[in-house]
Amino acid sequence: MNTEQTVLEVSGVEITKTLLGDLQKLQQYTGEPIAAVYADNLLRTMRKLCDKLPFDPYTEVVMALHDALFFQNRWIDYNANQYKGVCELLTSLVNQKNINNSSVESAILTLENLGFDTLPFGVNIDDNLDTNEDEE
Amino acid sequence: MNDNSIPQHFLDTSVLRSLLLGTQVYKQYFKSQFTDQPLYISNYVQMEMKRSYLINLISFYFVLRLETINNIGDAITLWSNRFKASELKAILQLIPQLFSTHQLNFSSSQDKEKALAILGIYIKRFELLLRKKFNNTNNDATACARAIVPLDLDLQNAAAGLKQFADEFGDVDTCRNKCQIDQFLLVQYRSEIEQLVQIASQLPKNANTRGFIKIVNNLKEILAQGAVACDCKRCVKIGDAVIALNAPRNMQLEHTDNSFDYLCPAINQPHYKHPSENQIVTNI
Repeated sequence: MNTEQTVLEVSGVEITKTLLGDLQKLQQYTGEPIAAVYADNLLRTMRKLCDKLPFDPYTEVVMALHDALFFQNRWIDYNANQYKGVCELLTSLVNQKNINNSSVESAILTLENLGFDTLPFGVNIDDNLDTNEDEE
Repeated sequence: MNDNSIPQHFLDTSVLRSLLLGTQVYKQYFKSQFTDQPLYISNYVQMEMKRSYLINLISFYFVLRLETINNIGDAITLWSNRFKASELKAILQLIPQLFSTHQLNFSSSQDKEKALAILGIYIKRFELLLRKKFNNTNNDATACARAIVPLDLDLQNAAAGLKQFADEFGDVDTCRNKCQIDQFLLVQYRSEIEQLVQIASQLPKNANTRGFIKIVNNLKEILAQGAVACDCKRCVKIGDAVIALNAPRNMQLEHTDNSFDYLCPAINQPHYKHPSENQIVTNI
């Protein structure tokens, strides 16, 4: 197998593994400016995963974490325990080598239970928007 | 109620929507109110979220996917020019936030495909959280068939799964044939509805009562015309009444809508009206 073939075969699980180092550093440096070094790298690696493998099951989990962390730079607000929890979750997923839809769903719910807001995009709901009139 | 001091919480669509889609401040308000207590919803409440938000997200997905649309900006322009109802504006708030967080170029035709993939992932995640983040009472006496239309999404071929969902969710004739809304309104809760009609007839018309009176006017038509007046379009207009009637009486119905202030006392349904998002934001 030549080098080019190796690069082409990079998988979701391999890229997800590379996120763990940055997440551990974020856990270590929570609340400190130096954490930005690892947040920046983490963000770029997550995007690389999404660009290369948009339909991979690992991408689905990583994008849920991505949105929770990088919308309005909320990565600054999460605490060490939450980063520890996400490291444990991703470690468990990469150890499985292949994950199915059920594992993806379970992982996203775990992120939510850890306090990561995976639907962070706020929609200002009109006070006058009455559900009973939605489709009139 | 297991313990009178700690009510269990049953969420109306207005509160569920805020927990899933509200601003961070509003979500924090509800978090402080519920402090990790179990929250319950019903299939019918899920259906209202699918009808008012999920189906619009799917519509935007297909607007963006159109071959005549070159980029994200074109899709936003088309949507904002042609679709103006308030629930459609929510899509216009979401899309720029979602795609900006992924640093997509709104003018680039290359980023259109990326945007479709990201939107597909978001839709799948939203549906998952709608289905699994909250406890289900597993008691939908209307047997709403739209509520249980599945979204089976293979992200490699998202369009097929989304279209299948839109087809089935939009097939209101088939769904109506499967549901029991007529039994629910005309038999199971007929006396309660007659009582609501009586209460509404004695209320003055003002900003607080307007929503309730509109609902009751529709219920009156159903009482007068029978099952033929019960269809999915009518359900849009009486949703709060259906939710209040079907709410577990041992739980507190959490809502933000004025109509429940009149619906709930009449049927002995414990309830709590939360401040609107604007009230919370203004009071910070």
